[in-house]
Amino acid sequence: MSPFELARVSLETVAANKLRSALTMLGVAIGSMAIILLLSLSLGMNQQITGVVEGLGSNLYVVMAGRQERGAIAQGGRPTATVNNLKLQHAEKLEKQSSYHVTVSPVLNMPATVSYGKSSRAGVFVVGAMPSFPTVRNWPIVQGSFLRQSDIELMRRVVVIGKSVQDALFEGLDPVGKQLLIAGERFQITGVMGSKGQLFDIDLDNQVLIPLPTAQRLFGVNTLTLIFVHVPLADDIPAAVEEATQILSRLLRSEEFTVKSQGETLEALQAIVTILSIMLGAIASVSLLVGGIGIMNIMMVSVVERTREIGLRKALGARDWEVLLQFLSESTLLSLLGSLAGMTMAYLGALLISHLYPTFAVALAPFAVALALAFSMAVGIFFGVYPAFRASRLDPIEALRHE
Amino acid sequence: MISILGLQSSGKSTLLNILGCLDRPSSGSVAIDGMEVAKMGKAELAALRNQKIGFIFQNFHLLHQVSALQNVMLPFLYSSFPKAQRQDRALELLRSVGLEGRAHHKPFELSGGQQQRVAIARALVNYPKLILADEPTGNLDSRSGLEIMALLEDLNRQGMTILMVTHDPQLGAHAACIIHLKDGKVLKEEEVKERRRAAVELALLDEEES
Repeated sequence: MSPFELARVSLETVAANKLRSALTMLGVAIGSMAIILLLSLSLGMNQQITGVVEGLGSNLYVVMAGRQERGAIAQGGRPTATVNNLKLQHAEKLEKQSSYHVTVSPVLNMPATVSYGKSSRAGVFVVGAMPSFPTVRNWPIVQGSFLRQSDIELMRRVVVIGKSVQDALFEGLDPVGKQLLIAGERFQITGVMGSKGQLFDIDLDNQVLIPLPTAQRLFGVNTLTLIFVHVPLADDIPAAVEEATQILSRLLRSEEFTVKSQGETLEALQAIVTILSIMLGAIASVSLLVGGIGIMNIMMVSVVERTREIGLRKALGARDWEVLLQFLSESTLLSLLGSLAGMTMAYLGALLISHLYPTFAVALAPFAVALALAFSMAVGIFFGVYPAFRASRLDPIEALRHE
Repeated sequence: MISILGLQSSGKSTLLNILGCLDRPSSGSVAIDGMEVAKMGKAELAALRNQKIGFIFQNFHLLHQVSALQNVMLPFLYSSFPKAQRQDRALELLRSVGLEGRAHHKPFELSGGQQQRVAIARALVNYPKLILADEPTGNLDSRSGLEIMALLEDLNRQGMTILMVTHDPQLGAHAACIIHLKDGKVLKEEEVKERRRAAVELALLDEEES
């Protein structure tokens, strides 16, 4: 029997019992769909996280106020609350003393309500920033101009707004030159930032940037939230982080600051997603396994039902291994067709999710599709072996006499 | 054409299974086309059945999910018959058993007699040396039975060796020779003096009806 004939014979049998075949395939289809969708989801999540963390800017490390243990970010933690002593002078000293030609971008983050005319928006992040911000964060301005050195020195009340704030308050109007009310004070808009998108439900464009000294005066503090530090060469980052820790140790107590590279942050977040994908993958695999048991069940029934056919084939000259191969190819075909149906279902599912949650685009990962296909085939073969073996061992005389 | 005649559990099925290479004798020897069966392995026996023996069963044993043509071609799955000629060979045989135009019918769309003709075509497809027929007319009405017997007689005239197992002495008389079996032993071998001719009887039947 050639592989082609084998496939044809299996197809004939599968087609002869359409409803039964479809129901058997359904188990595998659901399992395959679960594997593909869940893995694609977590891979997509991973990519999104990578995108967002890298979107912070490239070749970055961050100095945070307070002590943060390794892995704390994985528990969703902020630096443990200690007295914040991180100041602008620390950022300036870091830039001056570092031997890696770093550029610093100190920021102060505070939530506040901003309004224009009658429309207002609460919970907008007001970021006190320096002119180095767009370079360090790799975050270009799309309209107007960014904060200038003179704005800083003169503590001007000027503001550059994020895309979401523009959309919410200006609805297509050109905001440059307009007056924006931030925490009760009037600021002149000089520019609009490019869009960075969302991290899950955190809108990164829901912010406005004002000169750092202006922000410190506005909120009545003299500290910083973060210092972003850009290192020109990626290979220098570990050494630069080490050096920054030493420089800052001379100025601050060890519990007053944390230095963290982008890579570490990324790793911590990716670790969560990896655990998540393993768990989801395992659950999906169980459902595929159940589908496999369904195939085995139906193949056992089929062997009994078709005892006479098996006897006939043997009488006509089929060797044991040819009967074995025929039943094995049938169970494999069932799981293969089931898996293909699962792919279609996964594709439709991805479309549906993308439609319901436009910000959470799901792309079917080729890796997940290949894995589901390979796993289904393996399940089909594994659970097909025993029934096929039983069929091949039937005695043709007994089988022909079977009622 | 030889008939093997015997009552139930006279050993005729066992004899048929041994001759059909489905079973091996516990003693004695069987040779098919000069080849000793007792020494062969299962796979060799399977190949022998495929190449040298054509089976005709009482209840036809057709695959119900495929067409008459596919049923006739079934033994090709297990042989090395040239692929390009398979369909032509099967169609030619279907024609010779009077089923042209029925090639693409499924077994349930055919009458009992027609199903048995498909089975006969299937038995002939690999140019066998021997046809084994187990109660070939047992599930058919008398007219269809006569038609099948006429077909077998025709084949016999063309030189095909046919061995028919039956419990019906009337049916056994179609053969040139009857072997009587009882309790697993050959009771007697009998030459048929007045051999029945299915074709002649069919013609008579037609006259009666008209």
